[in-house]
Amino acid sequence: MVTINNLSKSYDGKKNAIESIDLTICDGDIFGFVGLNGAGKSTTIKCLVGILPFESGEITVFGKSIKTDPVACKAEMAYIADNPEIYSYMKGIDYIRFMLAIYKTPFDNAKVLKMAEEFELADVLNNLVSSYSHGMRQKLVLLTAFLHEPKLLVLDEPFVGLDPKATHMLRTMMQDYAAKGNSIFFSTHVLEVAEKLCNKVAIIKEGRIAVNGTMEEITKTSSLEEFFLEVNNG
Amino acid sequence: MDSFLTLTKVFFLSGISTNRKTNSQRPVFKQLGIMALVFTGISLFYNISMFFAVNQSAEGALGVYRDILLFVLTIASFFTVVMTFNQMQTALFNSKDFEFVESLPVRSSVVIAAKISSVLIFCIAEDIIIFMPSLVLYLVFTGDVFTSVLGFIAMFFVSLVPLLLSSLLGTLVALLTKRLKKKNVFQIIVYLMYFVVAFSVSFSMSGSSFVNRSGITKAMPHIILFKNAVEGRNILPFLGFIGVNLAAFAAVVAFIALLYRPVNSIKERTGGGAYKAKKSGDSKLGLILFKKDLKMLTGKANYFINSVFGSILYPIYSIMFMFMNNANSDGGKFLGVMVLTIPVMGIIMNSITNSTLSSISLEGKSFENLLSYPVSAKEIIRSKIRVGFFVPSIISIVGSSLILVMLGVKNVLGGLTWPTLAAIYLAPQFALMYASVTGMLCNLRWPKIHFENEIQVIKNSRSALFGMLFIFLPGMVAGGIVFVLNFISPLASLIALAAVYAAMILTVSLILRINGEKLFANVVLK
Repeated sequence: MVTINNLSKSYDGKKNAIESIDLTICDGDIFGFVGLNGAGKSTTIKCLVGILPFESGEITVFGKSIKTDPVACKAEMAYIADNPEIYSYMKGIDYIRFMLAIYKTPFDNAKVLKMAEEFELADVLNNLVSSYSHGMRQKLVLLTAFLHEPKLLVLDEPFVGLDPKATHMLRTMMQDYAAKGNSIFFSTHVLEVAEKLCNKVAIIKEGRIAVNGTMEEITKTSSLEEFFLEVNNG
Repeated sequence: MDSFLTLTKVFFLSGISTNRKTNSQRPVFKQLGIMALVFTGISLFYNISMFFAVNQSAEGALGVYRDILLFVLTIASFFTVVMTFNQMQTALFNSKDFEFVESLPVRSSVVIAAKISSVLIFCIAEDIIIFMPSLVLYLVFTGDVFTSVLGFIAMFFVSLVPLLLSSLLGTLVALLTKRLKKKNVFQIIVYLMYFVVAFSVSFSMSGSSFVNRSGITKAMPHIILFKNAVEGRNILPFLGFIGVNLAAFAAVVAFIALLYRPVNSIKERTGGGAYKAKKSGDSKLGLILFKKDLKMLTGKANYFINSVFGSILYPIYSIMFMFMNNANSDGGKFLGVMVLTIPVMGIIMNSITNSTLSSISLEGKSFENLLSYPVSAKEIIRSKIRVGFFVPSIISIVGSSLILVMLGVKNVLGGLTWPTLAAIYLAPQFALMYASVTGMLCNLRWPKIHFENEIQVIKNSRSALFGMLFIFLPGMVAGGIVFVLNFISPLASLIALAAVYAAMILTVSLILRINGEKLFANVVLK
């Protein structure tokens, strides 16, 4: 289980970018995190994965604190940024090797090739990452994340840049992954996908959690999109 | 004209900006101003020394002072030739902003002119630091207002022709290498050959400059027009000097504009053939990071060259020095004494550049990904310092061995004491070790993870400029200590050198140990 308690973060020491965020991600959850541009989604995510230090609050990842034991926490999760900026001087296969080594996961050639074929990257694994398109880079990062099988997947806008086939595949993979008891926390603007995929959702507005609950509760009377617009227009 | 000025300003500012919010809130030029003051101080020191030395030697004729002025101008011009070759190639043909600027309603020639001008501003700043003290001293010592005024105006043009030469060469290299699968390797070889040729030629010419006055401006022919103007006290050659510069600027911009879009649009060959399974053994974390950082260093030609630049110059300069002094040697005695300065060269040359100055910044936008990996900041910092030391260190060891072979050939090896021989190997290593830790500290203090091309980080960033100051200045001081003590006792010199560098390395390492992780965590704040 991952918990975020009373998390606040300020970039300038004056105004909080996010304030008093409380979220709980349980095993098997697919947790959608939605909000307008600049609402604080990426800041929350970056605090969760240990990229950004934060002033107050606590984040625990499977019982360990990201503040006091960041390396152990990071070993339990994989973060996929909204912009897949990866080492352009590496070949695709070298990137996979590097990431698996960092996460202390043995390199299983058959598994790598199988996944690469699923993501339609098998033919370009030996090419430099600099030759990859945005979507291909995104696929490579996703592929690598699934290969080292973290307990928690944190994805910032994972569907951006993916073609429809890859989007469909990712959705299926996310569902299968969560079904094994792993957790997924992701931000998105594609509310339709979030509504179909997530069992929990939180809406962040101006740095604060406006709504946090199960998808079932939230979409009882209206669609997620209608609910989201109501929250943000209200 | 408006577009040109706006683009020049944007290209220039994108080079000197950093990612720290705290820094960006300060006046942009405050830190640069402090740095310029320090550099001017150093420059003033050596210029005053040079002028006083000439004055005291009873040769203080107007011609000698003027030769010094021309010599300094030539040096400034030559530095531009050497330092901007890979810079211009990267700025023009390896910039991430190509598609963006091409989408603007601005002609390619304006973009090219602005890119060249933005680099020229840096060159002029360097020229002012190098040349201004000489000019002021020249005026004080000679009262020659005519030459001083022309010299002042010349300062703004003296780097233009070399910069244009670099732009043309950079274009040629980009054109020839962009399609190559191993373009980085090819570019590294071209850069190395260029440096060797440029320094070898310059060394032989500048070496003869004080012996034979006519040799002063041989290395930089465009300065001859300026020389003719001040010697003939005639304004026409000087107007010719300015005209040649401006005409060359227009011609080069027009020429590059023809190739700018086609070369930038060449699809790079990055295919590596079909993937074949390889056995992959488990590695230790330190080794994994080391391999990754090594790949990063060797995967970018301009990064690699900048990192090993000084280590390569060390044997070139030392051997050229020996050859030059062979011509007027006095039975090998003079050479034997001059050999004592080789460790000084080792220190100074290896203090010129270091890869850790930009290693954190060059992670670029992937830096955030790096932070999300289960690796501590300490391990990342350590790995980068190791690579920053290891690569130039190997090159320096090869250089030292080459020098010893040359000393053997010249029959002076046997006459030297073991501390001098040890210093030939160890002095560059001390300098490199200090440069690695100090470079890392500078990079953590002035990071720049958002950039359009690597040159903005490697050459024009505050980290690179401050690093140069903090590494080169102690290098000069240490070099001075070695130089003086070598003549008294090579052993004392070696001990003093080891003690000075050990103290500096320990101090910087301690600062890194205390503040490193905090600085590292703050890099991402923007």
